[in-house]
Amino acid sequence: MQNTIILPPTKETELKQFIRNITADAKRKDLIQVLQAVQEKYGYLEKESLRLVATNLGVSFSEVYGVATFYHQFRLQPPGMYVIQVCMGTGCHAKGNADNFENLKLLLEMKPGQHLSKDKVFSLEAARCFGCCSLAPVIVVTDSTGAYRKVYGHVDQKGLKKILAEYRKKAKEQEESETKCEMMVCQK
Amino acid sequence: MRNDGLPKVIVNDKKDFKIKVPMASCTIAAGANEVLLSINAVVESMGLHVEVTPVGCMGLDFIDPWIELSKKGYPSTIYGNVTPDIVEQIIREYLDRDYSSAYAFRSGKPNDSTVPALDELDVWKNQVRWISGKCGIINPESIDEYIAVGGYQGLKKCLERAPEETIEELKKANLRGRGGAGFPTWIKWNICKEQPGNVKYVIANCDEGDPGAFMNRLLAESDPHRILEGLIIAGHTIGANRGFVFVRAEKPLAAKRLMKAAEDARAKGFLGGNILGSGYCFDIEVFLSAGAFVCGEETAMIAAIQGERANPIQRPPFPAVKGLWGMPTIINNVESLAHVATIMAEGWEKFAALGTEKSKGTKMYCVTGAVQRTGAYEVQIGTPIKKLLYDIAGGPPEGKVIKAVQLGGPSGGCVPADMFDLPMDYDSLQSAGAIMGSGGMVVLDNTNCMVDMARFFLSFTTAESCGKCSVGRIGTRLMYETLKRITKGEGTIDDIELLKETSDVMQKACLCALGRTASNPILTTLRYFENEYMAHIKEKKCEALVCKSLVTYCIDQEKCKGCLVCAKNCPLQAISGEKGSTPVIDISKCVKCGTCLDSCPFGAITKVSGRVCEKSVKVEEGCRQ
Repeated sequence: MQNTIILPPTKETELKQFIRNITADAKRKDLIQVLQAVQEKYGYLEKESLRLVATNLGVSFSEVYGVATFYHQFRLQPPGMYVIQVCMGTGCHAKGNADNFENLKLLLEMKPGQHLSKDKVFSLEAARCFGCCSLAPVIVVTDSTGAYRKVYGHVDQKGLKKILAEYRKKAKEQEESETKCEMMVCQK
Repeated sequence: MRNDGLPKVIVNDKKDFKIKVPMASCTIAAGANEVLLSINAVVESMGLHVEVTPVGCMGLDFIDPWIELSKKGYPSTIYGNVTPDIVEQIIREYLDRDYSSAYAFRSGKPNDSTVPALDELDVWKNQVRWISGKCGIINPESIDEYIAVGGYQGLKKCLERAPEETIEELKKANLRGRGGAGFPTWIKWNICKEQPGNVKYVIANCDEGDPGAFMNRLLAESDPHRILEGLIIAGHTIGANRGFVFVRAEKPLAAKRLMKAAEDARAKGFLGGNILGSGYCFDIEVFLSAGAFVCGEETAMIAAIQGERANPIQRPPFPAVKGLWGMPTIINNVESLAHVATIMAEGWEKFAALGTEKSKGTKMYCVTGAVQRTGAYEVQIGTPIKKLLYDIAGGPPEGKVIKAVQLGGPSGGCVPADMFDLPMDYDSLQSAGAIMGSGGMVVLDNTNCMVDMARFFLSFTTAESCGKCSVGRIGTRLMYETLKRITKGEGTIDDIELLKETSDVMQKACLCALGRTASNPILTTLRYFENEYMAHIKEKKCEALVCKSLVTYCIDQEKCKGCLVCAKNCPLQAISGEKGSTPVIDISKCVKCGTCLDSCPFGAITKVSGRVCEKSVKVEEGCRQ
């Protein structure tokens, strides 16, 4: 008997499978929850996943796209390893978070309209109030799926630099450990 | 006024030493998690038998993170602004009966102490904690503690009697909706109850899209069962069998606590089939909203739950007649529901004794910005703004002057400092051009520019406008662009007229409240701070030094030592010069980020109002002569 070669699951089939699973008992009304689940797993909603959701739920692509672009929570572009959310609430605005946002753009060398840093470590988002107005101005750092989440209060210029350095270091460490793992796998 | 008489069972549960650590988003952000870890480590190393309980937030955000120690025979003591490294010292001092570093005692105080009791503090004694009385005292994840403080008693009473009696009780209490508009709750419920059919829905609105308001989040995180109880009572009264709690996904902890509360309530028989043997069936679902400010509009919220774009639709028919999936639906703010639960338990008489003639009861406000004590406070309706800002929140920090207070978020308005005697009730605030709204209060001082604040709110409403009606879509954009022009120093006197005219049209023609109220921040700032608009338009000056196009950075030659630290730090290399002499800022390159000002070790760099630095101009003129 010939040996069958099992290919590792490519991303597309995995995505298909995942969306099939979560849309199994879903109806039209569950669209928002389905999109939330997809974003939680992949960090953002790519066109292909929107298309798959639309087909599986039996609604038009435009309708799914309409919902995905309406709400703040949904991201259509891939985020960085860490997402920096700058609170744009009234309390934070009054205490100067608009300056922090501009400074972050400068520090991350982002051009207007750009939201992902060159090294893809950070992406920058303006967020609505987190309800921690007493700590204003506030920025929140999450990882791409939102599982890790840390709130920083009373942020100023110096604080921003410190926070960026902290996460750059973290990202580097993570990358190193990943390459180490790969090397170990190779050696084996 | 205190409202936290806890039964002995809770105070001294199993162990006779208890440490309470607040676990709400605000306290966690301030470092409560680290404090909790440190407490666990210290307790273990000291070999103490301690029960460490998570509680909610009591609204005193300026002392976050706080902890409360209570041991049998010792007074219950609250410590503020705790850091992980002083936990051990605090516990040791407490056990030695040395309370010198405490913030306050929970109740009473030992005779020889200089530390006050919480009741004696301005921040506490001026409050009436009617619905928030148990926040920061009970464990929000324990249904037993909620029941022990009298929870679900109101529900029991309601289940035993006809829905009409519940409505009658609410009518006597005269509870008005706490979401902002102040519509009497009993009327809304009565309309929905009278509708024919068996399928009806109730929705608790915990979306809280208003920037600057966090009382709903605080309630959901600190006392979630009170909200559920109110929701079940609402369901029973109108005859609904299904309810939703609409929570923003950006507030994950609030959602988690509400889900846990629903699970526990189900296990205890307060939710599900045949509630408490009454034959009434009701269950709820926590709906995680993906975030859109317009969801605060009832019809938009309904569309969101149905999985659609949250576009509002024409009213009437009102949701109470035709709402979720075409069925009669009531939507109440979670604060209103918490009031319902408390009124049913304590009786309408106590509620009606509070507040003013027209608006009874209490309201929670979140005070942030330029005050010494930021936090969420609950006061009687009709309390003057002054009392809240000065007596409770402690007035401005040193060296600052309060200029105005912004009430009610993007749909509200600014009230100037000379009107702070105004009582805060629905009607007085409306007459001043502001609204009660959800109760967010952002205090503005002389470092805030009112034109910029108006621009900020319009940028918010422009981004949040759903785009369905053209008046809302174009009107918000038009006003935003006009304000942007003014803050950039490109405004003309006609722009003021344009703003007024657009506001007028929007108030009349917009489909939903978002558009109709979007101009409130402009109208109130124009009414009370017209001089600031004029300074921006005529003199091209921003006295508060906020509008970037209208400020200039300049270097004081006398103070400058020529160290060139500013030039090194400038991210755009806009500063050039030689060591030892005063460098020059190239205005064409400068983006006014302020890095140089922060980095100068001699304080030689200043920010001045206007487009040119008059000082340096004078110096140049002096040179020429």
